[in-house]
Amino acid sequence: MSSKDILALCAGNLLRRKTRTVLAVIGVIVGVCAIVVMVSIGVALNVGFQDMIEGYGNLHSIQVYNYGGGSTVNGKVNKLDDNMITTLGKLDGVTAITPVIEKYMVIGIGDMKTQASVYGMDPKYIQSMSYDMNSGRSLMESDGEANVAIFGYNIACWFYNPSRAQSYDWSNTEPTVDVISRDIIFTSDWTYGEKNTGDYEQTVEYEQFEFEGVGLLEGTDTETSYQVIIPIKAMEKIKASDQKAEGSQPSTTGQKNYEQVLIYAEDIDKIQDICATIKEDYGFQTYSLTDMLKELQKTANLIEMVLGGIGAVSLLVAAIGIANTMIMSVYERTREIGVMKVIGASLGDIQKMFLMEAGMIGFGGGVIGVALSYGLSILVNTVGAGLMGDLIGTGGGAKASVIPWWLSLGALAFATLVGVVSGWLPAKRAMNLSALEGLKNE
Amino acid sequence: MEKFIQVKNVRKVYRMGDERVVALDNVSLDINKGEFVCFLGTSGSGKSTFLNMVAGLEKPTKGEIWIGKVPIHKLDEKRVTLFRQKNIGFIFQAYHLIPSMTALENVSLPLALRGIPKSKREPMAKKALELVGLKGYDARRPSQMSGGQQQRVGIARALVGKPKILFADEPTGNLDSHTTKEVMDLISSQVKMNGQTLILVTHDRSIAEYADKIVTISDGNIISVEDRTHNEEIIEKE
Repeated sequence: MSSKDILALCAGNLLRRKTRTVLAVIGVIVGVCAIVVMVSIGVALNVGFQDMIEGYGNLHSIQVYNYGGGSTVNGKVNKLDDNMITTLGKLDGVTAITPVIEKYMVIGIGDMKTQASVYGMDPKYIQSMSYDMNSGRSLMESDGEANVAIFGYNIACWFYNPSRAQSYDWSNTEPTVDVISRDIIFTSDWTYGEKNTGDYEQTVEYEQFEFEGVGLLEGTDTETSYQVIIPIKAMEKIKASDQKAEGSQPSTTGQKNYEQVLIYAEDIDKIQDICATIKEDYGFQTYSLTDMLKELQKTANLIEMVLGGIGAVSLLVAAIGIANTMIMSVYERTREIGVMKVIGASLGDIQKMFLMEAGMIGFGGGVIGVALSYGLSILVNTVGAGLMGDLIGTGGGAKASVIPWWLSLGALAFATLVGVVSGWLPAKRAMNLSALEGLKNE
Repeated sequence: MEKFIQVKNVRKVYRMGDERVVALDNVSLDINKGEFVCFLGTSGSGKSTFLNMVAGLEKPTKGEIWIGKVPIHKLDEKRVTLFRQKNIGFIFQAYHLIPSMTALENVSLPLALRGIPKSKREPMAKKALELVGLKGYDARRPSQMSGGQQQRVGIARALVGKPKILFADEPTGNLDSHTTKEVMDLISSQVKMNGQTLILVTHDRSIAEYADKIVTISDGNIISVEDRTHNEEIIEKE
């Protein structure tokens, strides 16, 4: 018998017992909705975590620290120097690497000034990060040792006129100066631009460095929006000059030993491996948001599984409902099955008939259930708006229910499978039914 | 005449709990091609069991059944189903039409089970319905037809696949005498026309009158075989 004929036969049989079919289908719908909506809440939690972490910074980057000036692995002292950076740069999954020198400095543009963390980094690294720019350009490899800088958006908002204000205004959301300028001063002199009131005696004469602002980074309240980035070589010059001004000895003993190194990995999935290698083989501390995210996601996945499990229970009940419906149907159609067998239905045909019928209940319930779940998801998001945000601490924007495509497809496939499996026992019964017994049944 | 169906020393014992019931004792019979054989006997005589075994619906406890060169007693379930699909048509006492299907669908069913596509099988089924005098009844469901009409659909269903053998188990048992005559005339004329072998089981002597050969069966044994084509000779058995 062709599958098309069996399908038509099954559809006919299901329509013949409308009430019973509808009830069995409703069971599946409830089960599918329970699973999909429950899991969608878990997925929303996952997405919420990801959004939250992404807000903290770049998921692709790994920070490598060198606390205490060196690490010891197997009796060998590892320094976070240029050689080490070359070595780490060759690790599998590492796309770009840079040492980082951070210095809190005063920046002046005309009669405006502000204080900010200035980061000296390899321009090649910055270039490979391909930051979104609000205006101007990012740093490029060709910048070399030049005195150029790019500014985080928030920093640009915090320039103030020291003769009019005591300090910058945190709440400012519009740039107060054009940072793309040739006349920018970087200095460690805190009194820069202030009128000398005489309260405070200047003891160190810090050098003022002339910089050119080449770009303004896009995005507020992100990791980079609070940074000013300059080529690392330029930073080294500043540091040497400041140390000289302060009268301290510059560390000239051979290779530089950086405190911090940044690694960029294109493939997020490799970050955990990279971190593990750096920790175990080289003995440095690492910090990456992805590492943290993976931990959070483990929790979210667990919650997702628990919620999905609760939903699965209702689908199990639905499965029992399908099996019951189909067994009733076998009893009811004993005679019919007998006739079919006598006039030439093979056991395979009989089995297919019942499995397909049960599968159709599962599939039908699955389709309606998934469709309904989308509606329920919208409802959950409307009623529970902000609830999820409060729960994981990301504010009001987070959704309480997210249905990814794999969830709806998976639920549909699962419901159909549940239907077919539920039809197994009834199909077996129908197959084992003696044709003769069937015919005697009046 | 060619021996078409050969039944050799067939015995069938049912186990009912601890009790063993002998349905057929030791039965041997030859049926020729194109013959109309009637099995006459009371209920419980073993006539239905005989029919079921020849149709491959039950396996004999002992003995052999051959249809042409096919050993029915040796075939597994799958093969016997295939053999039945292609070679055997059934007419039942209680019609046994599928209630959810129309007359046309019921008649098409054996063809559908053989995997014949709808476009081919429906014209065949229509023709079969016409043949049994039910032109225009295509869309009727069993519940919308009289007993006689339902049995005609049943006959059409049995004939549609042009089987070599037709089995009829009390085909008129549920019908009144007038309809009985109509149905019997229809069945006997059709099988004669197509040269099919018909094995009919009944307890009604008047129906047996249609047959070429009357086999009387009682308590699992053949009592007599009356060949009505050859000088009405009666072979009496002990």
